[in-house]
Amino acid sequence: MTKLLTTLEKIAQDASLQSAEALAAFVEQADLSEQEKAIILKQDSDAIAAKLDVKKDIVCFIVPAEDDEPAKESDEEEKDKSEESKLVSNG
Amino acid sequence: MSGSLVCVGLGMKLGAHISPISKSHIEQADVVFSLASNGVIEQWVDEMNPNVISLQPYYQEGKSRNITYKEMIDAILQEVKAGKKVVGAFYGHPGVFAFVPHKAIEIAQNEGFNAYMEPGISAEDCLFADLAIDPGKYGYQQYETSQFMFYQRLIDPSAYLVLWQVGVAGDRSLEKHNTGSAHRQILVELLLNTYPADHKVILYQAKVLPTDKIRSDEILLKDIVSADLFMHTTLVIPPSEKMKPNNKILAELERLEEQNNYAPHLKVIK
Ligand SMILES: C[S@@+](CC[C@H](N)C(=O)[O-])C[C@H]1O[C@@H](n2cnc3c(N)ncnc32)[C@H](O)[C@@H]1O
Repeated sequence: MTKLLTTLEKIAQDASLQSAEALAAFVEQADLSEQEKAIILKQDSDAIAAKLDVKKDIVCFIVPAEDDEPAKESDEEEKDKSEESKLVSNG
Repeated sequence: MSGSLVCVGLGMKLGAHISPISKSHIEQADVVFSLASNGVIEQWVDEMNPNVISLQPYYQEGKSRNITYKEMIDAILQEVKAGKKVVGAFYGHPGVFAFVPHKAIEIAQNEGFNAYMEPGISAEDCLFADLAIDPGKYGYQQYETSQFMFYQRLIDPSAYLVLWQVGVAGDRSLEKHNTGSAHRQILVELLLNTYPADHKVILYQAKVLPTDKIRSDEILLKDIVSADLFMHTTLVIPPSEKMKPNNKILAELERLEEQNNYAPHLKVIK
């Protein structure tokens, strides 16, 4: 893992690094280039992504509005079922 | 059969949200399929196992996401059928607004393979924390935005309404990575049946890197049309009305409690 990525992971995971002062002190002594230190302290996520040379245009959709499969049960069966469950809850 | 599939959640924030068991599954897999919401997260997952395959190349603007999803599922199952210990590592919670992991597990199970899911911290979990919203306070409805538009739903204006994938609101082709103001105008008109035009809504984006800032932009409902909506934006619509007491039920309960000689806490509100 690059040092920059390890440092980001550490910052995200360590409870003692959640304040601005603690973060500044930690980054100051980290084994990173001055430019890397600066982009972390400036909270410049775009510059971090550029530095790590990561893929841009990441797509995060994983769900369709509706899946293209036909419904499993016919309406008739659905109706039967709901009547059944009514009986159960009344019983 | 020796092949197996576990779909795990990466959580939203790099390194901060992944559970020990999800991390261990990734590290011990023969092959990992990753779907991250950010290139830095993808790189971070790449480092956890020597054999990580990104699912990103399956996406293409102009190609129906139904095809993309099917190809992703086929790729995952091919490795399971080859007898491998397969892990699907999905950002957030792998079972929240996520068709691919659910479907891949279902098919693998039907074919006799050991397949299951490990939960993760979803965008919604971050939303509850960052926007200080308790879904139990007024109740909470949530929909995939396009599905919400395609079907008739009963909106409860006294509860929260949260719309996912609002960036592709109304995309019937499933081919777009962003829909424009004309589609959003139709969404706004639909919402105007229930909410006033100047109702305040929130555009929410959780932190993904520790250097990110939370987006919680309060805008007017009517301004959704021209707002910056990205793939990872979630729309939060707070209640516009007070909860109305159900006096019929309260009266029934009061009667019941009187019969049982039980001091009622809730009185019928007149
Ligand atoms: C297909 S869903 C996947 C959700 C994911 N499985 C989870 O557990 O959060 C994609 C939608 O999640 C929401 N989302 C993804 N990343 C987000 C972020 N950083 N902040 C807020 N919402 C996000 C957006 O509504 C986006 O369109």
